[in-house]
Formats: sequence, structure tokens, C-alpha cells
Amino acid sequence: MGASLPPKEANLFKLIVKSYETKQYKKGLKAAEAILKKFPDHGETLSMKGLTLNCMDRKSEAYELVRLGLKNDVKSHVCWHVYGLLYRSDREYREAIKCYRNALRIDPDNIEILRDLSLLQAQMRDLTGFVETRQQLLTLKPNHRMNWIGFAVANHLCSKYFVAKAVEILEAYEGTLEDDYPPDNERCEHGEMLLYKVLLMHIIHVREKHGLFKELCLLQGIKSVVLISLLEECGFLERALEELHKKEPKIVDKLVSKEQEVSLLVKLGRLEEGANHYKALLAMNPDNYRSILCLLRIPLDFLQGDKFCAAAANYIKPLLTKGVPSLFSDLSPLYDQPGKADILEQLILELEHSISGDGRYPDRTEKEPPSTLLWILFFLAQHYDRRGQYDIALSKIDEAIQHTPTVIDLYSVKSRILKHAGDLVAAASLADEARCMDLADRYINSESVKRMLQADQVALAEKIAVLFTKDGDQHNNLHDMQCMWYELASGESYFRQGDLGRALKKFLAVEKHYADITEDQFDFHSYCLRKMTLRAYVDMLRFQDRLHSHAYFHKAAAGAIRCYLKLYDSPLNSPAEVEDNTSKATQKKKMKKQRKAERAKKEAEEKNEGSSASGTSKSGKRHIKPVDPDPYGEKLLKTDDPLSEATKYLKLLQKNSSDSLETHLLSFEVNMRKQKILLAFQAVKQLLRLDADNPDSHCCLIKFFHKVSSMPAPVSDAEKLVWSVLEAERPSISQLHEKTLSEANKIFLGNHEDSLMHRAAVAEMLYTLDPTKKLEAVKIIEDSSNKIVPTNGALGSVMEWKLKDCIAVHKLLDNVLIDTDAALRWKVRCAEYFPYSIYFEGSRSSAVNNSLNNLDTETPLNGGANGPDIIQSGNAFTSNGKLEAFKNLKI
Amino acid sequence: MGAGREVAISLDGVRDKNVMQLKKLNTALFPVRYNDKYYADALASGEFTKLVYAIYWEFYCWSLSLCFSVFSCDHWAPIELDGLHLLTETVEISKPVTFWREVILSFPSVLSMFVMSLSRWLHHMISITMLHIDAYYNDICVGSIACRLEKKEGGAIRVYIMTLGVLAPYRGLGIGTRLLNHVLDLCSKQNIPEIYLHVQTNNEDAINFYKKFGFEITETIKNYYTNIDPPDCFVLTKFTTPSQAKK
Repeated sequence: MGASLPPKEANLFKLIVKSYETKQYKKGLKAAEAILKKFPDHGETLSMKGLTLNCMDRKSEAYELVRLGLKNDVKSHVCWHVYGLLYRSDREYREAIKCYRNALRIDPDNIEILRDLSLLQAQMRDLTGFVETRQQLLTLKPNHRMNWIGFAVANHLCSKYFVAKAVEILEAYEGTLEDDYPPDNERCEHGEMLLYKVLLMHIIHVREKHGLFKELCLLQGIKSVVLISLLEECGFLERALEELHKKEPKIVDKLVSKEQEVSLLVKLGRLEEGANHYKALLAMNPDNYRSILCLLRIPLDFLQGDKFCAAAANYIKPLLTKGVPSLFSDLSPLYDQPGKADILEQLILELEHSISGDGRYPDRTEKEPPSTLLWILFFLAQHYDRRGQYDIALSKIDEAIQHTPTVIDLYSVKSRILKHAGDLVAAASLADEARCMDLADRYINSESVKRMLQADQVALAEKIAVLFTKDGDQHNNLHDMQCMWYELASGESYFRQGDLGRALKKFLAVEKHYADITEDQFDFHSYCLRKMTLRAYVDMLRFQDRLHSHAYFHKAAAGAIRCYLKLYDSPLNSPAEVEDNTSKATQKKKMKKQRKAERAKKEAEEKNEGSSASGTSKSGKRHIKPVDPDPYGEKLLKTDDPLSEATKYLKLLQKNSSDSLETHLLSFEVNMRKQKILLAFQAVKQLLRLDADNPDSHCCLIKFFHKVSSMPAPVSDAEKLVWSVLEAERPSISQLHEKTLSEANKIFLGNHEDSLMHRAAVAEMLYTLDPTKKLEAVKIIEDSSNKIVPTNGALGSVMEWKLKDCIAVHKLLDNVLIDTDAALRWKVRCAEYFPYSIYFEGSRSSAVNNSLNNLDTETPLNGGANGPDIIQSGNAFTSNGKLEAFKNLKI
Repeated sequence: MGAGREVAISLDGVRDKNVMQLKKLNTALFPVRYNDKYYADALASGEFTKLVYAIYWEFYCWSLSLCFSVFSCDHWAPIELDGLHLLTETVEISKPVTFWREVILSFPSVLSMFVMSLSRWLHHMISITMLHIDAYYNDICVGSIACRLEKKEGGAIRVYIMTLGVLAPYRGLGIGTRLLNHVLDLCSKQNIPEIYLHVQTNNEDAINFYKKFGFEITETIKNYYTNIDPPDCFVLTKFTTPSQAKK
């Protein structure tokens, strides 16, 4: 370092490095300038100056200087290292790795650079490289604990076949320790290491069982004969157990050690010992007292018929007495098993009958508390909601509310029932009523916000959500808290309202959170090795590897792709906008106005803040947040190539959610638009693989080959190649084997004659294939019949069709088949099936029933909130025409 | 194994965060709508306005480990009741059920549940270190009393009971008595000599209820109510401290 400089400057150079490490950037900068006065071309000094400037927020200068320094002194590892650090600070890890590698070419044994490189390799999952670097570090400094551990972990991560090697390394490390190790202050770390080792042995056992391990052990040339002979005696497990016993005094986390021991014992077939240990565990960990309840709950999953009924009664009765609001969600998995819902219904109805008669459970002498009836009604309401009998569900929940109007859960459930029944506006107002009953409860606040977003009341939702954010004044705080459910729900709402810019903004925000989470792991690569929290570290890495398959990411990516598709189909400022019907246009105008008002308000606020902030800014503590230059996503909308933007997210979906139909549906849509025939075909094949009977899969298949057949004959070589691939592939698709598309369509109809959504798909394809057959297509849909699902019929009947599907069919009639009359007929028909649906303007929905809250009855009922105007007033009560003082109590 | 079931009630103040509970109760209980002033007065009266919660809990005792069967215990806290801090001393596990019953019953305002934590197994001694209380879980708000503090000429204060009510299914359990006694106790503690209220003339149940506590009819007001029949009401008054020497 600074070797080419005379002593005085060399000392100054050391000062720069030291100042950088201690973050005294100004000092470092001065020293650098002092050197540069005499040696203006000194490469390493230039580089260090750049690095220092980088930390002082002068990015562009920094890059210039570092590059200049490197140019002046290409042979210096310092310059390369600095260049790498610069890239690393900008999260350009790939570039950084390249720089480190160059630095190491010049100075292969530089520990610092090796360590930095290993962190990057772990972050980028360059695991082979990670092992190499770690090995080198260990060879250079074998007296350092972290190097042993790092090498072992690297082996473990790199390949499942190196796990045994990891164990060997750990054992070799233990061999270097004195007998009295560990000292008191290292006990935790050492214990963690031992537990990690046992975990590894466990992993090996599982693999060995699969027969793979032994073979590969030999392949990898693991030399230890002892190891193999141990394996042959089913050794690893025994060894793991032995290890655990031997080292027990040294392991600090006793609970985990016991748990591991039990699971090893059970695997070894030493069940009796295992059972004893389980008992001890239970005594050790009384927080598991829930397990007592589990003992009663678990059999309900397996028992059938009368035995089930008796066990269920046994389980449910005390919980109803106690009033456990979560009882229904506890039992709801049982509803997926045939017959159990009917038994539960019978059972609870019997209880209801008995309690409302003489206040006792059947065959009991003890009187139940009055609240038991309430909880029975509460359960029944959720039961009927689950079965789609919304009428009965609502009457039960209303009865419960009348019984005890002060229980907040009742309003939440009523809100949920109304949502399912299709009245999102009433659902939102009820959720808000629940919220008003306990303004200090964040959960019901969030629930109310979610319902408002579902009802597309975004502005109001934002206002309510902000009540619980720290800064109170801006919802950016929700972004900082990575509040993803909120961003997703509001993105979806904007999407429904056609505000693509803001929708994209929200969806991409969620995507950004996931990128941040990936980024956040960086610090742990060094921290966990140092602190020895190895099991947690490995877990964390595995979690990060699957991060993007998380449902929220899937939703956000799918949402963003849909936005881009819509943007592509009807670009901004195109004639399409003129075609938009007037209602949409006025809506847009309204939105623009609203934005303008918001912007003005914000500016005013900022001004206010500015004047008030001037006082605080003197103290210099105030953290200034960068203002979002594109709060409404208008810039996002101006992208030239929405499809290639969409492809970015599509790739992530294909990589991480390849088993989801939606992924491939989106891939189909994107690639068809991009004219990427083979990629679209790949999507079709994936759809058929996942679910060939799915209506959407069918549509994609037909659409694809229809499109292909309408394309002009191939001219270029590439086109011919595509053609020949399709020719070769088509016969392998059984649905189309020696059939025309319309024949395939007909057969699909024959196979799924009773299903509404399949019929709709067939109708759509019939029309796509031959637009003259529109009437026939409409007839296929209208001839569908909504059957009654067989139940024991205790109360009312359940219809087969789902609201969501019927809405989709209506949109198909209206927008695709463009038959307004048929759409209207469909709407009238569905309004019968779904009287609470706002979409179909059902007779009992708040779309029709807005006057319900106008108090024709003089006493407003608790929980009778209905209609949007209630929300505006913030509460459900008016007294003699006067609004009660509520607004000022809200916050 | 032993088990038992107990009913307990607890009082909670009315704040702006939960005033909606009071509104819900009034909507269900009274034919009259109350205006802003009612709620402002109620909030201002402090301890004189209370919501009452009913709790039903069960407890079980196993031979080896003892556990009050309850749900949701996310935080541990030493008992804090009526301002008293009480950290139970280490108690041996083998206490009989009746012991626990007493522990619980000796705190009438115990709120919902008890869970014991066995000491860490490291010590190999099972003992109870803490009791857990969760005030707002499955307890239900079933009634309320709302008062207004009025200043008479000369500076003396009197209490006006605006509303007192218990939801129909929960009547007959002594909850109304608890509520009224709470206010009467407060009055005698604070030397407030006069408590009064209005009752519709045909509401005999209520009149008899108040008479039990020493209230007397002191006045009849014609056409007091506007929307209900009969429109007349009695004024019931109770003078608590006969010695008004303090004036």
C-alpha cells in the first residue's frame, strides 16, 4: 500500500485508509489532497479519494476518480479492491466480484480481499467459489475459529454431497481445541456449533436412507474408512445421538438439544425412551399447554360418523361456553371433508335449540351462561357463510348482534358475510362500524382498511390506515414498514378503477420490498459466522432462496404484468382513449381533479413543514426524506415497451411459481402479444401439464392454434423452423389428435357439460373460431343450469354457482361476445341468485337499498349499517337528525 | 383432575377509544337517542361512568401439571389489580384445586385468565412464578352506568344518573346492583350528598330497584319525554350523608 511513495506521503496514505475505516471522511480527503499535490497521478491515492467521496454522497466524482486511479496503476491490488468496494456499495455484486478477482490475481493471499470476496459469493450463491475462497482463508489462517466454521458452512451449502465433509471439518476444528474449552464467555457460541453439527449428522442420515449418500461419498473420494463403516452400521444417527450425550454439558440451549434428542430417538426406533423424553419436554415447556387442547382437536380430523359427532360435541361445547371467537376457523378445515359439515350443522343446531329452550346443553343440569347462545349464533353465522347460504348467515349474525350488540367480532363477521355475498360497500361500512368500537385496535383498523380497498374507497382507506402509522401524515410510512397487504389491496383497487399508473406503483413497491429482503441478508453472512448462529443462518439462506415464490410476490408480479398488458392493449393518448365511453372519461377527469387537489394540498403541507422545519433543521437532526418524483406512476406509464417490462416480472414468476396456472396464463398472454410463438406454445404445454381440464387452459390451447392457423405461410428460415416445431408437436397433444379445433371444442363441452365456467369457455372459443356462431355461443351459456348442491337440507339450499364466476360470465357476454341483451338477461337472472350482489344490483344489496340507513324506522339497529353515506359520516347513528360528535373522537 | 366454573364481572372506564361501546348499549337498551352532550358529560364524569364486563372462565387441574385452561396468552405480567401489584410467591405445584379457587375468588375483579409458568426446567423444580391476566379477551361488555356531575348553587356537587342498564340476556345476575353500588360508594367516599335520576312513571321494576337502595320519589314532571308514552317521569333522589355540616 502506498509503497511507491516517499515515507512522509506513505504515512499520509495510511492516514487516508485509517480515516476511511473510522469514517472521518473529511480528514481522509485532506490527506489525499496533500499527497495529490505532490503526486497528482498516484493511482492508489486517487482511488482512495474516490472511495472517500463515495461515502460523502458524491457518487459520480467517486467513480471518475476510482477509474482514473485504476488506469494510472492497473497493477495495484488496492485500486482493484477499491473499485470492488465501490461497486459493492452500489449493490453491483457481480461487477464487484470481478474486481476482487483481479485484485487477488495481483495479491493472492490478501486476507481482507478474500474475506470480502467470500461474502459476495455467499450473497450471489456462487457456492463453488465460496468453498474455494473459504478454503484459502482457512489455509492462510488456521488459528482463527471463524475460518474453520466458514469453511464447514460453505461445504454444507455448496452441495448436499459435501455435508459429511462439513462434519469432518467441524471435528477437525474440535481437535484443535484444548480440553477446557470453551471458556465461559464462549459457551453459547460453542453450544450452537455443536447443535449445528448434530443437525448436519441428521441430514446425512436422511440422505443415507435414500441410498444416495454412500455412493456419492465414494465418488467424492471421502477417504475416511471409519466413516463408511460407521455408515454401514447406520452409524450417523447413533453417532449424532452419542455426540449429543457426550457434549450435552457444553450445549447451552437445552430445549433444542432435548428436542433433537427426541427426534433422533424416535428415528432410531427407541420409542419408549422417546416417549419419556417427550413427557419431560412437555414439563419443560408449559407454553405448550395448548397441546392439551390439541389432544381433543386432532381426532376430529380422522374420526367419522357417530364417533366424529360425539368427539366434536365434546370438543365444541366447552369452547362455546367459554366464548372462543376463533372456534370456527379452528374447525373450518373439517368442511373440506365430505359429510362433516352436515354433522356439525346438526350438532350446533341441536345445541342452539336446547340452549334457547331452557338455557342448558342437552342432558346437562348445569345452566350455561347467557353468552353461550351468542357464541352458538356466531358459529352458525360463519357456518352458513362458509356454505354459501348468506341469507341464513345474515339472519343468524343479526340475531347475535341483537343478543349482545357490544361484541366487536360480530360486526367483523357480518362484514365478511356481506363481502362473500357480493355487497362490498356494506361490508366496508360494517367493518368500519367494528373499527369505531375500539379505536385502539390495530387489527380491526387494518381489517376495515382492507374492506374499504375492496370496495374501491381508496382515499378513505388511506385516511383510516394512517391513523395507525407513526408519522401520521403520510402513507409513505406504510411503504417504509413494508406493509404489503395494504399495497397489494390498494394496487388491485386502482387496477379495477383503471388507474394503471398508481396500480403499477403499488405493485412495483411490493416487488421492491422483496428485492430489499434479498439485499438485507448481506450483513448476516459475516454476522452469523461470527456469532455462530449457524442453524438460523442456514435456515435464513434457504428462506431467501425461496423468497420469490411467496404468495405476496406472486400477486404483485401478476398484478404488474396485468397492468403492462392493459397498457399495451390500450396505450395512453391513443385513439382508444377517445373510444372510451363517457363514464370512463368523466371518471378520469374526476381523478385528475382529485390529483390536482391532492397535489395542491401536499404542496401547502410541505410549505408549512418547511417553515416549521427551519427551526428543527438547525439542530441538524431532522431526517429529510427524498420526495417521490412520480407519486402517481405517470412516468411508469410512459414506458416505450410495456411487454418487455412485463417479461422481467414474468421471468421471476416462471422461475419461482412454475406450478401456478396463473404464471403460464400470463406467459401466454405476454408472448402472444410479443409474437413469440414458441414461448407461447411452451406456456400452453405447461397449462396442459398442470390442468388440461381447466377452462383457461382449454381457451389458451384453442386460441393458440387458431392464431397459428391464421398466420401467413412462413417465409424466413426462422419462421419455417418455428413452423416445423409446431407441426411436430401438434400430434402429441391428445386433445387435438386428428381433430379440428371446433371438434376439440365440442368434445371439451361434452366432457364438462355441467360446469358453468367450462361452458363459458367453450362458448367463447366457439365465437373466436367462427364469429358467425355468436347466437349459438350465447345459447350455450344461457342453457347452463344452476343446480342445488345436495346437503342434508336442514335449512335452505345451496346453489352451485359462485358469484365470482357469474360475474366473469357477465363480462364475457358484455365485452367479448358483445350481446347487450343477453348480458342484461344474465344480470337479471343472477340478481335472483345473488340478491346481495352490488354487481348484479341484487334487490338486497346496498346498490339498490341505499335508503336503508335513512331511518324509516326510528331506531337504527346495531349492525344495520348499509350504504356508502354512512361511511362518510363516520358512524352509524343519527339522533333526532343531529349527527353525534364522532369525528373528533376518531383519532 | 379438578375443574370449576366461575362468573366474574369487572368495571372499565369510558374513554374516547371505546365510547362506541356505550353507544351500542344505549341503542339496544333505551328508546331514547342521546346527544353529544350526554357523551361529553359521561366522559367528563370520570369514575362515575363505567362499562361492565362479564367473564366466564373455567379452570382445570391435572395431577402433574396444573393449568388454567384458557386461550391466547401472549404476554406475561405480574398481577395488577386495582393498583395493587402482586407477584405471587413461589408456590408448590401440589396445591389442591380449592387453593386456586380461592386465589381467583379473592380477586373479584380478576379479569380473564390464569396460566402458570413452570420455572425453567434447568432448575428442576416446578414452581409457579407468575399469573397471567388478559383483560380484553373473551369478556363481553354487558351493561353500563353513566352519570353527570352537576354543580349546585353554592358550589355543592350532586350526581345525576343519566343511564343505567344491563343487556337483557345478562339480567338477574346482580350486575346492575354492582354498577349502582359502585356509584353510591364513590359518592360516600367523596362526600357527595345527593344522587338523583329520572324514571318513566310506568317503569315499576326500575322504581322498585332504586327504592331498594334508598331512593325516594321527590318530584313528578309532566311531559318530560317527547317520543314515548307515558311522557311523564318521576325524579328519584337519594341523600347519602345526612350530616350536611360541611357546608
